[in-house]
Amino acid sequence: MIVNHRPSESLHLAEKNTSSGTVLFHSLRSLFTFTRPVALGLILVAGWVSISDGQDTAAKKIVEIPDRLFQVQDDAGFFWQLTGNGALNSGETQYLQSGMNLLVDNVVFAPGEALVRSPKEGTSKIDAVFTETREGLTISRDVWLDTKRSGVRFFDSIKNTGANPVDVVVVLRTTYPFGWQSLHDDAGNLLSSDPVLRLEPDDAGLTVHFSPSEGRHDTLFLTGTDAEGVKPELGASTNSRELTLQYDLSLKAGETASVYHWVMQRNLPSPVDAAEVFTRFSQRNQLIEPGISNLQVVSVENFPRSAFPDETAAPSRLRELLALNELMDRIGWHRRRDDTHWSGQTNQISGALSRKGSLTIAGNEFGERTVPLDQVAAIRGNVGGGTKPFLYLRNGEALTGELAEATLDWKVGDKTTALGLDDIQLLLLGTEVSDGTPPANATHFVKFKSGVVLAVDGEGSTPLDYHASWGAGQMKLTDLIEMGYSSQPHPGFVLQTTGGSVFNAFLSGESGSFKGVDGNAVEFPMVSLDAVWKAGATGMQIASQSDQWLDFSEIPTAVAPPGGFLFSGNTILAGSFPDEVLAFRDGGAELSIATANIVSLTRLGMAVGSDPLKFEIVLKSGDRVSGSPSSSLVGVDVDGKRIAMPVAYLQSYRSIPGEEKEK
Amino acid sequence: MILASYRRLKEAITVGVISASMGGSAAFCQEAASVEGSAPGLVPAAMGIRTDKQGNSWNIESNGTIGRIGSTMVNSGLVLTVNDETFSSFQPMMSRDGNEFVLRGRAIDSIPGLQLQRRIKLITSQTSAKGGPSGDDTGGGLRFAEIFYNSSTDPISFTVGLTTNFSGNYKHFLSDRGTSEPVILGDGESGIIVLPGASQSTKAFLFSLADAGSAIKPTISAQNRYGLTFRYRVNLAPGETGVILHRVTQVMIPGNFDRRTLLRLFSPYSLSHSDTVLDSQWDRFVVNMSSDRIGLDDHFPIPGFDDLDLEPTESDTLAAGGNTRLPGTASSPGVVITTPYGEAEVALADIAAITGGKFAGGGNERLYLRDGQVLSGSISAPDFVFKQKSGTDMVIEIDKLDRLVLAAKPEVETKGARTLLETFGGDRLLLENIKGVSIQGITPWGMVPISLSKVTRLYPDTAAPGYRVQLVDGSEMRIFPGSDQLELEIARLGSVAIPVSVVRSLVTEQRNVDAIPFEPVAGNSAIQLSGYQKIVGTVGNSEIVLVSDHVPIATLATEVRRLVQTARRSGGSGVLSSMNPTFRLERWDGGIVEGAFKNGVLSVSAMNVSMSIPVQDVEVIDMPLPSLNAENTAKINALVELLGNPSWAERERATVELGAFGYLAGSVLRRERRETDDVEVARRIDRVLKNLN
Repeated sequence: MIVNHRPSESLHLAEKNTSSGTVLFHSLRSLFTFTRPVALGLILVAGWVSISDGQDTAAKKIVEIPDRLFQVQDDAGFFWQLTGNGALNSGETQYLQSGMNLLVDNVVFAPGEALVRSPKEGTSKIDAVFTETREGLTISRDVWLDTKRSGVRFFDSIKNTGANPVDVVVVLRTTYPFGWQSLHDDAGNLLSSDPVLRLEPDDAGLTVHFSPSEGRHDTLFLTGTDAEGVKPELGASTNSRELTLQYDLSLKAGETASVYHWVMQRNLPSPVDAAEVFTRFSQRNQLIEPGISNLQVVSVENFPRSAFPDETAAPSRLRELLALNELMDRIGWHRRRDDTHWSGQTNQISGALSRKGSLTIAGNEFGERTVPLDQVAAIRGNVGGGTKPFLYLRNGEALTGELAEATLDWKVGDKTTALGLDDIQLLLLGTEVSDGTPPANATHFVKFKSGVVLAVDGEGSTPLDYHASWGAGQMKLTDLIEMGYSSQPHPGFVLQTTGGSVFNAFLSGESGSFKGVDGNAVEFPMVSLDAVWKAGATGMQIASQSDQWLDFSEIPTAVAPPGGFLFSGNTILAGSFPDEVLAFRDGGAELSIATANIVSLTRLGMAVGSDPLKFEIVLKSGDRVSGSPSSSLVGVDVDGKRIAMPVAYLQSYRSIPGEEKEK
Repeated sequence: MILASYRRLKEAITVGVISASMGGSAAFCQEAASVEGSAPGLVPAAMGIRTDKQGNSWNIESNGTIGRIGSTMVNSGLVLTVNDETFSSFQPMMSRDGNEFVLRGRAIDSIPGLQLQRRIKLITSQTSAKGGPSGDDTGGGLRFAEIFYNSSTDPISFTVGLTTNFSGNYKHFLSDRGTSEPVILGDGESGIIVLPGASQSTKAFLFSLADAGSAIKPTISAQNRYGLTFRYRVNLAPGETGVILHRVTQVMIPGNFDRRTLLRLFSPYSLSHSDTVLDSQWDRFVVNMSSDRIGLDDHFPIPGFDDLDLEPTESDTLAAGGNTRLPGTASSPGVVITTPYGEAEVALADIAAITGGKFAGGGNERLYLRDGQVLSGSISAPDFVFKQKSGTDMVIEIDKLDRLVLAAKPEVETKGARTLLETFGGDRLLLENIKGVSIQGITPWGMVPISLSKVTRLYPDTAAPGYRVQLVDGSEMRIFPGSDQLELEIARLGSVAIPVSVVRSLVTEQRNVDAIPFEPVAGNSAIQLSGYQKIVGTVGNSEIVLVSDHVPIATLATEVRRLVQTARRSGGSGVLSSMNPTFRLERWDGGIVEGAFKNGVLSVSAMNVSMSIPVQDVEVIDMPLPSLNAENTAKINALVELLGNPSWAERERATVELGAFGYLAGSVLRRERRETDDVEVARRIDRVLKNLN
């Protein structure tokens, strides 16, 4: 029944089932064996399932597709304009005239409909699926604009809907308004053109390099692995402005074949630096977040099946292993399903570490712990000495200290060798579904300056005593979203509370105590504390903020509270005016304003020479008044506590929406 | 007299702030030598095209100007002028890796005695403090340091211009806060982005021109959309060094220009970024950087005598509004003021000025006393009469008074240093009997008792809520108050409990903060810490262990001469040892160890307390010179004597062995150098001294 779905029906079906996409996927997967003759309809359904996963908004179905869809700027600053036929250009910058223009049998891809999630809809995933139905063929293009990694993924599928086998020529054409300087392989070597321009079997992609003196950036194409998979035939125009990737596909009746690519724009100091860019998308012949499902993978011609990680290799909570991720991000590496011994950017060996046994480690913060190997996500060994070994656990903890001698069974190929801790640089154990699941009772993670990360139970922990500019206070762990020590711009902790406040504080007291998840107390000298974050956090938001916010509009969305007071030094007090009236002065005139009527208060003193203490006040009535507060101190009510802050530090105030109603 | 007293106070505040950005000449002299070509590591420069870590190409010319290259929008960028004279360089030098150019400038005709040099650093992945393919959040571009040294005996003042000509008309420029085409960077602004005109280029030029909180920012003048000039005004006292730090890069044109986008765009190119920060020897001379140089009075104004807009004359003056001025003589049997801190009775003879309920500049009834105090509150002055010169009497009612400025009187010399407390409300209170009185200051490293008699200045940190305190030993820290109120004795008011929240500043007169050298004294180390903090104290660690290339190397603390942080740890937290800051440890014997601390905490004793300071907060430590024991003193003296030995071999051996003593022999050698008449001995001592470390 499903095999007979026409693509449009599949899309329609999927559209109706967006909220239960994952369930649909599992039910479909159980029905099929992963062989190539899978109907395109299914691939599209699976594709739809993959893109509808998560909390993204539903895609819009477009039947009359405009010439230009939308423009996106990725996190590296590059523009991508998605056009109506699924190709790309570089938007308002003169660079890519047309990128990855799809031609099938020399006829330009002309989709009749598209499912689009554009950035203006506020979706976190920006993608589009185009479909064209020709006589005997159904062609689809699935484009994902991954702004975070700064790359665009193309997944082009062709289904033979006829009754006879067909040979299809798929061409992906990219054109530039200017001639490039040279073409390189993924390692930066000049592409061979003897006798014809081609990719060698060990080339996973290519770079179109422009002269640095021209000030134009480069395009990188990830076309496969350096092992198996079909390589595209390359074509380049004599004026060095047009590049084509060509695939010759043979399709039996009802069969579908696909080609999969990533395209990136970069400014490369040298083509050799391309390798570093490719590692964000593919490492050791395995794709990272390929963005297509296993159902779609079976039809891909230019990548082997093994290049696509199994879903279980990318647990959804992987980003919650903060300590390990910090290490991974630093070395630019990605954990995979198999175990890897990483000993540098160029040396990694895949293998299998026996999970039998355990490691015993003793550290100041946690005493002695014996950790079963199946709970370990990574081991930093003693190579070279001088630094202490680390154990990164799958539950998010990280332990360092004295590691008891142990020998691990490390199997490479058929051979098992004994691996001593002194032999290990960094052993990355394969990802598992349990990764990132914090221990039971864990409300927070605590990091010490030694690098140790422990899960703690905030409910039973002793509050932290602190001093802020307005005096002493106590902070319950359960009231903290995040706290981190930073030396810049001045030493101290930055705290973000569940109430929305962000402020600098110094911790007082010689020592502190948290309740460990095992119920035992974790005692520590206060000077050793480095950071605290809530279990489930996927990154530190505030400790590394270096910009000075002058207005609520400048506060990053993830940090900005709905309202409150913004003071100098990125201090946010999520509170309200404790007094009913605020006195203002404009010249000699005094003005009393009911604080309940104040919507916002913004400092005006941007220009040099202007009164630095002058504010503009917007009232509920829409009226705007300006003046300087009569008092040199402004009162702030934070959770029932009155704090007096010098007006000189006040930058901005926003009333909390709906607050008056509650009052 | 009141004016003199008031202005002296003001000077104590403001001069200290500005001078802190300048300083001595040692570093320039040292560097001046380096630009002569004698500095190790510099080679004659090969100018030409360089590529930064973001792939932007830069054509750097021999005078440091950015030349035209490819399709970039700049024809000639950042041409340096001093008083409109264009900078030109002697033989350009560069670092061995070719990433930093050092250009020593030729003399500027109009400013005798000004020495200048440009240091231009290409930000590559090698020069970046933070590496790694995906964790890399720093930008590329060029970092310029324009270094000026006044070698004359007179103060000099000049204008530094940086001019960029574009290949065509640029489209627009705006600041990092979204101000369109600003003529001067305002509060919180640090630079501008210049957007290319149609078909000019695919990239915009981004100029980082000052720290967002700096008081010293350039003016920006545009020339018909094809040129921009940034101008800084620099004042240098004799022997002073000043550095202007700025940065330029090319960026993709952002999709929109809201504040968040702009901040995110500018952030990697901030002058406070570790990529941009100069070597510590220069860092302290940068004039357009540190946030503690914001004009304190601009951001934390307090009502002052200047607000009265009236100078004292030989007679009393009754003023109302902008123009009404009545000369005459005021008389009153006594004035009583009820302040929030108590009641004070003041004789009219002790009052310099009175403002009343009609005063527009503050609205408070306030007494300005001749001893420098300012008291606000409710004033009671029965039988207060003002006799005009015409003979007419006027009864003064304080609530209807605008202002009365009493006749000038000769200033009475005060004995010793006086400490005054200023409140945010505008009061200035004279403290008495402060000996033995201390306040609790909470630092990031623990609570320290701060004796008021040792405070030169306590003032609000303009960058973020909190205070900064400067002490007589040169220490300077950022603190939060450790108590809610201060128990103080105040002239005329007696013992008073003052809420800490109202305290704006504490100022001690007649203490020249800038004259206090920050150096190791009397067995104490001089410790420079993050956030422009300094502590004079004792390092408690018996040994310093740095892990150098995975190998821990221990050095006894007594053998350490200097410890300098060479690469900062980026961001908030890190777990890799390579993310910890690296230090260069210089030993008295000339040895150098570079690496990261094995233990993360430094123990420091200062102000009678022990503090545990995370090493990431430590920037520089200068250790005290170890005292020579009798044995070493005898050895050095014997070797000095051998310098005059008839045998060349003996003289040579003694020279080598003295050199091995390193800095330890310095004081003896300098003394001998002054006293010896033997040319050969003098020459050899010079040789040893020159090669110390």
